[in-house]
Amino acid sequence: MKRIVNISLVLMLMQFTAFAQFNKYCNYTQVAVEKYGEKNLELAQQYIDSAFLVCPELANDAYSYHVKGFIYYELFKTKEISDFNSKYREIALTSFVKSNTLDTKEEFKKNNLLSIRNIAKSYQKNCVELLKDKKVELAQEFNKKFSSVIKMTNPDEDLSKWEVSFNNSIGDIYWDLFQEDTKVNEQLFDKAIYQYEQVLKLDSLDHHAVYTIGVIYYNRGFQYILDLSDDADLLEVLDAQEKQVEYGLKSLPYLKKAYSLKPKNRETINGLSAIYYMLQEKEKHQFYQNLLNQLVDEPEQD
Amino acid sequence: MSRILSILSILMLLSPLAWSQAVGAEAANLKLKSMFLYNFIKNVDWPEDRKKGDFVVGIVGDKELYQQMNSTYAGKLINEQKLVFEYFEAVSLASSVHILYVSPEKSKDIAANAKKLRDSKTLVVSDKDGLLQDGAMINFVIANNKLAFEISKTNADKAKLIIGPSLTKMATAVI
Repeated sequence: MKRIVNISLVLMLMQFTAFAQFNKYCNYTQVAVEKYGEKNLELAQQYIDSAFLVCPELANDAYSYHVKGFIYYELFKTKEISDFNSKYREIALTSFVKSNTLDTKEEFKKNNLLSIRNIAKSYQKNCVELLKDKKVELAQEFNKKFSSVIKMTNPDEDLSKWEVSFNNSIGDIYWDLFQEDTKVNEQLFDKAIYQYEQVLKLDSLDHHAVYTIGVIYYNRGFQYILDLSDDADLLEVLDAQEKQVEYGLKSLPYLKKAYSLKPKNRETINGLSAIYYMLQEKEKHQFYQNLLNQLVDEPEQD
Repeated sequence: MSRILSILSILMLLSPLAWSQAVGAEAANLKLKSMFLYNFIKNVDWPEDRKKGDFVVGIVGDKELYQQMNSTYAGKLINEQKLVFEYFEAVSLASSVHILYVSPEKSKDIAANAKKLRDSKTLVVSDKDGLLQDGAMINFVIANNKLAFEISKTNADKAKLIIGPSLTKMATAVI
Protein backbone atom coordinates (compact mmCIF):
# COMPACT_ATOMS: atom_id res chain seq x y z
CA MET A 1 0.00 0.00 0.00
CA LYS A 2 2.78 2.38 0.99
CA ARG A 3 4.51 1.70 -2.33
CA ILE A 4 1.31 2.42 -4.28
CA VAL A 5 0.86 5.68 -2.38
CA ASN A 6 4.43 6.63 -3.12
CA ILE A 7 4.07 5.85 -6.82
CA SER A 8 0.88 7.84 -7.09
CA LEU A 9 2.48 10.72 -5.21
CA VAL A 10 5.39 10.70 -7.61
CA LEU A 11 2.98 10.67 -10.58
CA MET A 12 1.10 13.56 -9.09
CA LEU A 13 4.31 15.37 -8.43
CA MET A 14 5.37 14.95 -12.03
CA GLN A 15 2.09 16.41 -13.24
CA PHE A 16 2.22 19.18 -10.69
CA THR A 17 5.82 20.08 -11.45
CA ALA A 18 4.84 20.72 -15.05
CA PHE A 19 1.72 22.54 -13.93
CA ALA A 20 3.58 24.63 -11.34
CA GLN A 21 5.75 26.15 -14.00
CA PHE A 22 2.64 27.91 -15.28
CA ASN A 23 0.83 28.45 -12.02
CA LYS A 24 1.77 30.66 -9.15
CA TYR A 25 -0.69 28.88 -6.91
CA CYS A 26 0.70 25.80 -5.24
CA ASN A 27 -1.71 23.77 -3.13
CA TYR A 28 0.63 21.05 -1.92
CA THR A 29 0.88 22.74 1.45
CA GLN A 30 -2.87 22.51 1.84
CA VAL A 31 -2.88 18.82 0.96
CA ALA A 32 -0.11 18.31 3.49
CA VAL A 33 -2.25 20.02 6.10
CA GLU A 34 -5.16 17.74 5.24
CA LYS A 35 -3.01 14.66 5.54
CA TYR A 36 -1.65 16.00 8.83
CA GLY A 37 -5.24 16.44 10.02
CA GLU A 38 -5.94 12.85 9.05
CA LYS A 39 -2.88 11.85 11.06
CA ASN A 40 -1.30 10.46 7.92
CA LEU A 41 2.05 11.89 8.76
CA GLU A 42 4.05 10.08 6.10
CA LEU A 43 1.93 11.49 3.31
CA ALA A 44 1.83 14.86 4.98
CA GLN A 45 5.62 14.80 5.04
CA GLN A 46 5.85 13.84 1.37
CA TYR A 47 3.41 16.59 0.36
CA ILE A 48 5.12 19.30 2.32
CA ASP A 49 8.55 18.27 1.04
CA SER A 50 7.18 18.19 -2.48
CA ALA A 51 5.65 21.60 -1.99
CA PHE A 52 9.06 23.13 -1.39
CA LEU A 53 10.54 21.18 -4.26
CA VAL A 54 8.04 22.13 -6.89
CA CYS A 55 6.96 25.55 -5.72
CA PRO A 56 10.00 27.81 -5.48
CA GLU A 57 7.88 30.70 -4.27
CA LEU A 58 7.30 28.79 -0.99
CA ALA A 59 10.88 29.44 -0.05
CA ASN A 60 9.57 32.70 1.38
CA ASP A 61 6.29 31.39 2.73
CA ALA A 62 6.03 31.56 6.52
CA TYR A 63 2.88 29.40 6.49
CA SER A 64 4.43 26.48 4.61
CA TYR A 65 7.40 26.43 6.97
CA HIS A 66 4.98 26.60 9.87
CA VAL A 67 3.14 23.54 8.47
CA LYS A 68 6.40 21.74 7.78
CA GLY A 69 7.47 22.38 11.36
CA PHE A 70 4.29 20.80 12.74
CA ILE A 71 4.46 17.79 10.45
CA TYR A 72 8.07 17.08 11.33
CA TYR A 73 7.49 17.72 15.02
CA GLU A 74 4.67 15.15 14.99
CA LEU A 75 6.90 12.72 13.13
CA PHE A 76 9.53 13.22 15.80
CA LYS A 77 7.02 12.60 18.58
CA THR A 78 5.53 9.50 17.00
CA LYS A 79 8.60 7.90 15.43
CA GLU A 80 11.80 9.20 16.95
CA ILE A 81 10.97 10.40 20.42
CA SER A 82 13.74 8.20 21.88
CA ASP A 83 16.22 9.09 19.18
CA PHE A 84 18.48 11.79 20.60
CA ASN A 85 19.71 12.63 17.11
CA SER A 86 16.30 12.71 15.46
CA LYS A 87 16.43 14.41 12.06
CA TYR A 88 12.69 15.04 12.30
CA ARG A 89 13.24 17.19 15.37
CA GLU A 90 16.04 19.15 13.73
CA ILE A 91 13.99 19.80 10.60
CA ALA A 92 10.98 20.79 12.71
CA LEU A 93 13.10 23.26 14.63
CA THR A 94 14.68 24.86 11.56
CA SER A 95 11.24 25.04 9.94
CA PHE A 96 9.67 26.85 12.89
CA VAL A 97 12.63 29.21 13.07
CA LYS A 98 12.45 29.90 9.32
CA SER A 99 8.70 30.47 9.58
CA ASN A 100 9.28 33.05 12.29
CA THR A 101 11.91 34.81 10.21
CA LEU A 102 9.52 35.08 7.28
CA ASP A 103 6.44 35.85 9.36
CA THR A 104 6.53 39.64 9.16
CA LYS A 105 2.83 39.89 10.06
CA GLU A 106 3.39 37.65 13.08
CA GLU A 107 0.51 35.33 12.12
CA PHE A 108 2.26 32.13 13.17
CA LYS A 109 4.79 33.43 15.62
CA LYS A 110 2.94 32.48 18.81
CA ASN A 111 2.47 28.85 17.79
CA ASN A 112 5.95 28.63 16.33
CA LEU A 113 7.44 29.83 19.61
CA LEU A 114 5.35 27.36 21.60
CA SER A 115 6.60 24.54 19.43
CA ILE A 116 10.20 25.71 19.60
CA ARG A 117 9.81 25.75 23.35
CA ASN A 118 8.52 22.18 23.31
CA ILE A 119 11.48 21.13 21.19
CA ALA A 120 13.79 22.84 23.68
CA LYS A 121 12.17 20.85 26.49
CA SER A 122 12.72 17.65 24.55
CA TYR A 123 16.44 18.46 24.46
CA GLN A 124 16.27 19.09 28.18
CA LYS A 125 14.65 15.70 28.74
CA ASN A 126 17.47 14.15 26.73
CA CYS A 127 19.93 15.83 29.11
CA VAL A 128 18.30 14.17 32.09
CA GLU A 129 18.26 10.78 30.38
CA LEU A 130 21.93 11.13 29.48
CA LEU A 131 22.79 12.11 33.04
CA LYS A 132 20.97 9.02 34.30
CA ASP A 133 23.31 6.99 32.09
CA LYS A 134 26.29 9.08 33.26
CA LYS A 135 27.00 10.21 29.68
CA VAL A 136 28.22 13.58 30.81
CA GLU A 137 29.76 14.99 27.64
CA LEU A 138 26.70 14.19 25.56
CA ALA A 139 24.49 15.64 28.27
CA GLN A 140 26.52 18.84 28.13
CA GLU A 141 26.10 18.94 24.35
CA PHE A 142 22.35 18.60 24.67
CA ASN A 143 22.29 21.16 27.42
CA LYS A 144 23.87 23.65 25.03
CA LYS A 145 21.16 22.81 22.48
CA PHE A 146 18.45 23.18 25.10
CA SER A 147 19.82 26.49 26.29
CA SER A 148 20.22 27.99 22.82
CA VAL A 149 16.80 26.79 21.65
CA ILE A 150 14.88 27.92 24.73
CA LYS A 151 16.50 31.33 24.41
CA MET A 152 15.08 31.61 20.90
CA THR A 153 11.69 31.80 22.57
CA ASN A 154 12.81 34.17 25.31
CA PRO A 155 16.30 35.64 25.27
CA ASP A 156 15.91 36.63 28.95
CA GLU A 157 14.89 33.14 30.06
CA ASP A 158 16.32 32.53 33.53
CA LEU A 159 18.00 29.14 33.41
CA SER A 160 19.99 29.56 36.60
CA LYS A 161 17.96 27.03 38.64
CA TRP A 162 18.29 24.47 35.88
CA GLU A 163 22.00 25.18 35.42
CA VAL A 164 22.56 24.79 39.17
CA SER A 165 20.89 21.38 39.19
CA PHE A 166 22.55 20.34 35.95
CA ASN A 167 26.05 21.23 37.12
CA ASN A 168 25.45 19.70 40.53
CA SER A 169 24.39 16.45 38.87
CA ILE A 170 27.47 16.41 36.66
CA GLY A 171 29.65 17.09 39.67
CA ASP A 172 28.01 14.16 41.47
CA ILE A 173 28.59 11.88 38.48
CA TYR A 174 32.25 12.86 38.16
CA TRP A 175 32.76 12.33 41.88
CA ASP A 176 30.99 8.99 41.72
CA LEU A 177 33.14 7.85 38.78
CA PHE A 178 36.29 9.14 40.47
CA GLN A 179 35.53 7.06 43.53
CA GLU A 180 34.97 3.94 41.44
CA ASP A 181 38.63 4.03 40.44
CA THR A 182 40.63 6.91 41.85
CA LYS A 183 43.72 6.09 39.81
CA VAL A 184 42.16 5.55 36.40
CA ASN A 185 39.74 8.46 36.87
CA GLU A 186 42.20 10.81 38.54
CA GLN A 187 41.29 13.73 36.24
CA LEU A 188 37.63 13.53 37.33
CA PHE A 189 38.45 14.85 40.79
CA ASP A 190 39.26 18.32 39.43
CA LYS A 191 36.36 18.10 37.00
CA ALA A 192 33.93 17.43 39.86
CA ILE A 193 35.23 20.41 41.80
CA TYR A 194 35.00 22.55 38.65
CA GLN A 195 31.32 21.65 38.18
CA TYR A 196 30.44 22.57 41.75
CA GLU A 197 32.41 25.82 41.42
CA GLN A 198 30.29 26.57 38.34
CA VAL A 199 27.23 26.12 40.53
CA LEU A 200 28.62 28.52 43.10
CA LYS A 201 29.16 31.13 40.41
CA LEU A 202 25.43 30.94 39.71
CA ASP A 203 24.37 30.64 43.33
CA SER A 204 27.04 31.10 45.96
CA LEU A 205 24.58 29.86 48.59
CA ASP A 206 23.82 26.48 47.04
CA HIS A 207 24.16 24.08 49.95
CA HIS A 208 24.65 20.97 47.85
CA ALA A 209 27.65 22.39 45.99
CA VAL A 210 29.24 23.99 49.05
CA TYR A 211 28.77 20.89 51.17
CA THR A 212 29.90 18.47 48.48
CA ILE A 213 33.11 20.36 47.71
CA GLY A 214 33.84 20.22 51.44
CA VAL A 215 33.22 16.49 51.59
CA ILE A 216 35.18 15.80 48.41
CA TYR A 217 38.27 17.58 49.74
CA TYR A 218 37.86 15.81 53.04
CA ASN A 219 37.55 12.40 51.38
CA ARG A 220 40.56 13.12 49.21
CA GLY A 221 42.50 14.00 52.33
CA PHE A 222 42.00 10.85 54.33
CA GLN A 223 42.37 8.71 51.23
CA TYR A 224 46.07 9.64 51.13
CA ILE A 225 46.49 7.83 54.44
CA LEU A 226 44.26 4.89 53.59
CA ASP A 227 46.15 4.36 50.33
CA LEU A 228 49.50 4.06 52.10
CA SER A 229 51.17 0.68 52.09
CA ASP A 230 51.25 -0.81 55.60
CA ASP A 231 55.04 -0.95 55.39
CA ALA A 232 55.49 2.68 54.35
CA ASP A 233 58.44 4.37 55.99
CA LEU A 234 58.00 7.38 58.19
CA LEU A 235 58.89 9.86 55.48
CA GLU A 236 56.10 8.53 53.25
CA VAL A 237 53.71 8.62 56.18
CA LEU A 238 54.58 12.24 56.93
CA ASP A 239 54.20 13.21 53.27
CA ALA A 240 50.77 11.57 53.12
CA GLN A 241 49.78 13.32 56.31
CA GLU A 242 50.90 16.63 54.82
CA LYS A 243 48.54 16.02 51.88
CA GLN A 244 45.77 14.93 54.20
CA VAL A 245 45.99 18.15 56.17
CA GLU A 246 46.27 20.24 53.00
CA TYR A 247 42.98 18.83 51.74
CA GLY A 248 41.44 18.96 55.18
CA LEU A 249 42.15 22.68 55.39
CA LYS A 250 40.69 23.13 51.90
CA SER A 251 37.56 21.32 52.99
CA LEU A 252 37.00 23.24 56.21
CA PRO A 253 35.77 26.62 54.84
CA TYR A 254 33.27 24.86 52.60
CA LEU A 255 31.85 22.76 55.41
CA LYS A 256 31.68 25.82 57.66
CA LYS A 257 29.78 27.67 54.98
CA ALA A 258 27.47 24.69 54.46
CA TYR A 259 26.83 24.73 58.21
CA SER A 260 26.01 28.43 58.15
CA LEU A 261 23.50 27.75 55.35
CA LYS A 262 21.85 24.81 57.10
CA PRO A 263 22.80 24.75 60.76
CA LYS A 264 20.61 21.76 61.51
CA ASN A 265 21.61 19.59 58.59
CA ARG A 266 23.03 16.44 60.13
CA GLU A 267 25.23 15.49 57.22
CA THR A 268 26.91 18.89 57.42
CA ILE A 269 27.43 18.69 61.17
CA ASN A 270 28.71 15.16 60.74
CA GLY A 271 31.10 16.45 58.09
CA LEU A 272 32.43 19.19 60.38
CA SER A 273 32.84 16.73 63.20
CA ALA A 274 34.78 14.43 60.87
CA ILE A 275 36.99 17.11 59.40
CA TYR A 276 38.03 18.33 62.85
CA TYR A 277 38.74 14.75 63.81
CA MET A 278 40.95 14.40 60.78
CA LEU A 279 42.68 17.69 61.60
CA GLN A 280 43.37 16.38 65.10
CA GLU A 281 41.23 19.11 66.72
CA LYS A 282 39.51 16.85 69.19
CA GLU A 283 37.63 19.57 71.12
CA LYS A 284 35.99 20.97 68.00
CA HIS A 285 35.27 17.44 66.82
CA GLN A 286 33.54 16.80 70.13
CA PHE A 287 31.60 20.07 69.90
CA TYR A 288 29.99 19.00 66.62
CA GLN A 289 29.46 15.47 67.91
CA ASN A 290 27.51 16.93 70.82
CA LEU A 291 25.55 19.10 68.43
CA LEU A 292 24.71 16.03 66.40
CA ASN A 293 23.53 14.20 69.51
CA GLN A 294 21.30 17.13 70.44
CA LEU A 295 19.59 16.89 67.07
CA VAL A 296 18.68 13.25 67.46
CA ASP A 297 15.11 14.00 68.53
CA GLU A 298 14.58 16.84 66.07
CA PRO A 299 13.12 16.29 62.59
CA GLU A 300 15.76 16.05 59.87
CA GLN A 301 16.39 19.24 57.90
CA ASP A 302 16.88 18.65 54.19
CA MET B 1 10.72 22.95 34.03
CA SER B 2 10.04 22.28 37.70
CA ARG B 3 9.27 18.60 36.94
CA ILE B 4 12.59 18.17 35.21
CA LEU B 5 14.34 19.97 38.06
CA SER B 6 12.83 17.55 40.52
CA ILE B 7 14.00 14.60 38.39
CA LEU B 8 17.49 16.04 38.59
CA SER B 9 17.16 16.46 42.34
CA ILE B 10 16.28 12.78 42.59
CA LEU B 11 19.36 11.98 40.53
CA MET B 12 21.43 14.00 42.97
CA LEU B 13 19.94 12.11 45.90
CA LEU B 14 20.79 8.83 44.26
CA SER B 15 24.41 9.87 43.99
CA PRO B 16 26.70 8.75 46.78
CA LEU B 17 26.36 11.78 49.02
CA ALA B 18 25.96 9.86 52.21
CA TRP B 19 29.66 9.22 52.51
CA SER B 20 30.55 7.59 55.75
CA GLN B 21 32.41 10.65 56.83
CA ALA B 22 33.42 9.99 60.39
CA VAL B 23 34.42 6.44 59.49
CA GLY B 24 36.93 7.72 56.92
CA ALA B 25 38.68 10.06 59.33
CA GLU B 26 38.68 7.51 62.13
CA ALA B 27 40.13 4.83 59.90
CA ALA B 28 42.76 7.21 58.58
CA ASN B 29 43.80 8.48 62.02
CA LEU B 30 43.94 4.96 63.38
CA LYS B 31 46.08 3.80 60.48
CA LEU B 32 48.28 6.86 60.86
CA LYS B 33 48.99 6.13 64.50
CA SER B 34 49.62 2.46 63.85
CA MET B 35 52.09 3.34 61.08
CA PHE B 36 53.94 5.70 63.39
CA LEU B 37 54.18 2.94 65.99
CA TYR B 38 55.35 0.43 63.40
CA ASN B 39 58.06 2.85 62.35
CA PHE B 40 59.09 3.31 65.99
CA ILE B 41 59.50 -0.45 66.19
CA LYS B 42 61.65 -0.46 63.07
CA ASN B 43 63.84 2.47 64.09
CA VAL B 44 64.71 1.75 67.70
CA ASP B 45 67.52 -0.58 68.73
CA TRP B 46 66.94 -2.78 71.75
CA PRO B 47 69.72 -4.29 73.84
CA GLU B 48 70.99 -7.76 72.82
CA ASP B 49 69.15 -9.58 75.62
CA ARG B 50 65.86 -8.35 74.16
CA LYS B 51 66.58 -9.54 70.65
CA LYS B 52 65.38 -13.06 71.34
CA GLY B 53 61.93 -14.61 71.18
CA ASP B 54 58.88 -12.74 70.02
CA PHE B 55 58.84 -8.99 69.72
CA VAL B 56 55.96 -7.98 71.98
CA VAL B 57 53.99 -4.80 71.47
CA GLY B 58 51.69 -3.87 74.34
CA ILE B 59 48.80 -1.50 73.91
CA VAL B 60 47.08 -0.02 76.94
CA GLY B 61 43.57 1.41 76.81
CA ASP B 62 43.01 1.59 73.07
CA LYS B 63 41.32 -1.55 71.74
CA GLU B 64 40.83 -0.15 68.26
CA LEU B 65 44.52 0.57 67.88
CA TYR B 66 45.32 -2.90 69.19
CA GLN B 67 42.94 -4.49 66.65
CA GLN B 68 44.29 -2.37 63.83
CA MET B 69 47.91 -3.23 64.58
CA ASN B 70 47.24 -6.84 65.36
CA SER B 71 45.36 -7.39 62.10
CA THR B 72 47.98 -5.53 60.06
CA TYR B 73 51.34 -6.38 61.55
CA ALA B 74 51.01 -9.51 63.71
CA GLY B 75 53.43 -12.19 62.50
CA LYS B 76 55.71 -9.84 60.62
CA LEU B 77 59.40 -10.19 61.40
CA ILE B 78 61.48 -7.48 63.00
CA ASN B 79 65.11 -8.60 62.80
CA GLU B 80 63.97 -12.20 62.91
CA GLN B 81 61.67 -11.59 65.87
CA LYS B 82 58.00 -12.24 65.26
CA LEU B 83 55.69 -9.34 66.04
CA VAL B 84 53.10 -10.13 68.70
CA PHE B 85 50.49 -7.73 70.04
CA GLU B 86 48.95 -7.72 73.49
CA TYR B 87 46.20 -5.58 74.91
CA PHE B 88 46.20 -4.40 78.52
CA GLU B 89 43.63 -2.52 80.57
CA ALA B 90 46.30 -0.91 82.75
CA VAL B 91 49.99 -0.03 82.50
CA SER B 92 50.72 -2.08 85.62
CA LEU B 93 49.51 -5.26 83.89
CA ALA B 94 52.07 -5.02 81.10
CA SER B 95 55.32 -6.88 81.57
CA SER B 96 58.16 -8.00 79.34
CA VAL B 97 56.92 -6.02 76.37
CA HIS B 98 59.36 -4.34 74.00
CA ILE B 99 57.18 -1.36 73.31
CA LEU B 100 54.20 -0.11 75.27
CA TYR B 101 51.72 2.36 73.87
CA VAL B 102 49.64 4.05 76.57
CA SER B 103 46.40 5.81 75.60
CA PRO B 104 45.75 9.30 77.03
CA GLU B 105 43.09 7.94 79.41
CA LYS B 106 45.53 5.49 81.00
CA SER B 107 48.57 7.71 80.97
CA LYS B 108 48.41 8.79 84.61
CA ASP B 109 49.88 5.39 85.53
CA ILE B 110 53.06 5.86 83.53
CA ALA B 111 54.96 7.71 86.25
CA ALA B 112 54.15 5.06 88.85
CA ASN B 113 55.41 2.28 86.56
CA ALA B 114 58.31 4.15 84.98
CA LYS B 115 61.08 2.33 86.84
CA LYS B 116 59.68 -1.13 86.16
CA LEU B 117 59.29 -0.32 82.47
CA ARG B 118 62.75 1.20 82.27
CA ASP B 119 64.28 -1.88 83.91
CA SER B 120 62.54 -4.17 81.41
CA LYS B 121 63.91 -2.03 78.59
CA THR B 122 60.47 -1.14 77.37
CA LEU B 123 60.02 1.71 74.96
CA VAL B 124 57.10 3.68 76.42
CA VAL B 125 55.05 5.63 73.92
CA SER B 126 52.58 8.04 75.44
CA ASP B 127 49.89 10.16 73.90
CA LYS B 128 49.36 13.23 76.03
CA ASP B 129 51.17 16.51 76.64
CA GLY B 130 53.95 16.47 79.22
CA LEU B 131 54.42 12.73 79.55
CA LEU B 132 58.11 12.71 78.68
CA GLN B 133 58.52 14.06 82.19
CA ASP B 134 56.73 10.99 83.55
CA GLY B 135 59.13 8.56 81.94
CA ALA B 136 57.87 8.05 78.39
CA MET B 137 60.54 7.90 75.69
CA ILE B 138 58.32 8.96 72.80
CA ASN B 139 55.23 11.08 73.15
CA PHE B 140 52.62 11.77 70.46
CA VAL B 141 51.83 15.45 70.03
CA ILE B 142 49.72 17.48 67.62
CA ALA B 143 51.55 20.12 65.62
CA ASN B 144 49.87 22.16 62.88
CA ASN B 145 46.93 19.76 62.67
CA LYS B 146 49.31 16.85 62.26
CA LEU B 147 50.19 13.90 64.38
CA ALA B 148 53.83 14.23 65.38
CA PHE B 149 56.06 13.03 68.16
CA GLU B 150 58.67 14.21 70.60
CA ILE B 151 61.50 12.15 72.01
CA SER B 152 63.20 11.91 75.35
CA LYS B 153 66.64 10.65 74.54
CA THR B 154 67.42 10.84 78.25
CA ASN B 155 64.63 8.39 79.13
CA ALA B 156 65.63 6.12 76.24
CA ASP B 157 69.26 6.09 77.38
CA LYS B 158 68.17 5.09 80.87
CA ALA B 159 66.41 2.05 79.39
CA LYS B 160 69.41 1.31 77.15
CA LEU B 161 67.35 1.93 74.04
CA ILE B 162 68.87 3.59 71.00
CA ILE B 163 66.47 5.73 69.06
CA GLY B 164 67.55 5.84 65.42
CA PRO B 165 68.47 9.05 63.59
CA SER B 166 65.51 8.79 61.22
CA LEU B 167 63.23 9.24 64.23
CA THR B 168 65.21 11.95 65.99
CA LYS B 169 65.39 13.90 62.72
CA MET B 170 61.64 13.89 62.35
CA ALA B 171 60.69 14.51 65.97
CA THR B 172 59.28 17.92 66.86
CA ALA B 173 61.55 17.98 69.91
CA VAL B 174 64.34 15.86 71.33
CA ILE B 175 65.19 16.33 74.98
